[in-house]
Amino acid sequence: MIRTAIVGLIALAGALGLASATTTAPAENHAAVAATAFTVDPVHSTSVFRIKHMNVAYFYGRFDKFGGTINFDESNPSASSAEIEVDTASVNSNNGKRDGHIKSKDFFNAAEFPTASFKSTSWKPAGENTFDVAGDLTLHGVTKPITVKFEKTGTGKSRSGGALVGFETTFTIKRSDYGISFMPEGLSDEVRLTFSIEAGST
Amino acid sequence: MPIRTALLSIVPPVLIALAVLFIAWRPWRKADLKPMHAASAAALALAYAVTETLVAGQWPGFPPAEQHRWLPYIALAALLATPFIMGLKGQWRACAATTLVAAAFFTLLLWSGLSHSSSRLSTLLWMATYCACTAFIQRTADVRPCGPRLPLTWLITATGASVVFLQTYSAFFALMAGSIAAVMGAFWVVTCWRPRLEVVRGIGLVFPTLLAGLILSLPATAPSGLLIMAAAATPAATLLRPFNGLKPWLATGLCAAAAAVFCILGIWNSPGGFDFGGY
Repeated sequence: MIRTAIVGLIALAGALGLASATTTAPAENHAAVAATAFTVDPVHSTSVFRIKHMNVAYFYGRFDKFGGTINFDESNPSASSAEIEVDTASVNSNNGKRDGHIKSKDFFNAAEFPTASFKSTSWKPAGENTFDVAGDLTLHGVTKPITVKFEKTGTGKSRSGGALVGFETTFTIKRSDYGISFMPEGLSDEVRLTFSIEAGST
Repeated sequence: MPIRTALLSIVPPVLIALAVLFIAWRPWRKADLKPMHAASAAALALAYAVTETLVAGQWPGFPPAEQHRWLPYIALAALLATPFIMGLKGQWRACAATTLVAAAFFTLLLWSGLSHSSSRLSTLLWMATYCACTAFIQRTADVRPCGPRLPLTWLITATGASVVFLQTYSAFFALMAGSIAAVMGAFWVVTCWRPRLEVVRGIGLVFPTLLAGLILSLPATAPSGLLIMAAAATPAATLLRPFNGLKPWLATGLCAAAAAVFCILGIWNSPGGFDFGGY
């Protein structure tokens, strides 16, 4: 009886130990990625912008449609490249009238300039899991060089076994640099953009 | 919309229009009508170009990055073409020249539609319609160059166009139509004060070209745009029987009322309709 109880206690302790081991938060996965071509997964990626209204408060909006490709080589970052394309007509600020106004010729002129894009020209390591990515940002028909910081947020495997990689970047532009200068009293010149991208190997 | 932005489209055009008319008229001398033709065209074209630059924050550059920003250039080109068209003898020559000039201007604005085979035919049809409207309005101004009838009707028309553009979610276009309305307001005051001054004749090309140019640059206004052009053309009815026998004040009142009705229909037909709630 006593022996049965001891065996039971040991088994319970073992089970609890196993359980505690499995509920421990997994460490962030930053396994090195071999040179791979990735396609942006629009379902698990987000692009958000922030702009100040009437010099009072920030409001946030997003682009519902964007995509692109990232060729990422962690062992040789300078060989990496990224091309991201945003559908300007997919702007979503949670207000239909405002969306119509943002898409109009007052701002994006989505009829004439249906896409905004970023094409990288160079990648440089800038610390652990971060890269300085220089490239050309085209918005409203105007192309200007910018440098943004890409943070590699993780790597993994998809359900089909393909490689996954995540990046996030936040940067600020002046809309007037891209010829979108209407209503400077109503909307700030500076616009902050954030892209959180999950991309899968093709 | 901040009040300062709205005032930009009203105060500068009124000041420019009055200043140009005053300089051309020089009321301390004997009135000479010929300079007034060029002056009214210059007043409208300069007011538009200056206001466009103020509202947009910068001159469009050459060539402009956006098609609708050809309009300041078109305003100035229409100003240059005005003496040529007014100098033509025979109404059909003037109409044909106006149509050709308008077609050249609208080609600049609608180049992207014309360059795609899928939209070429519809774009050409719209262009032809608005060229005909422009020639028709120019002819009306040629026949009825004096008095407050046309400036009042076109003040109402441009104001209606401004509301239609606002209800099509473009404050910029609304402000530019507002600048045309402001100039027409100044012209209306001048013609009420001195009805014999030929203020209207000179703007027979610049006004309809700018109005049609704004409408064509914003395709979402398509059905409403035709109603706005109809509003601008209502004074033509007073050249025909039985309206040509009406007393001037009654004919002016009827034109203004008809233009207002067309504008209201245009606003009703715009994407925003009568929902004037902001966001």
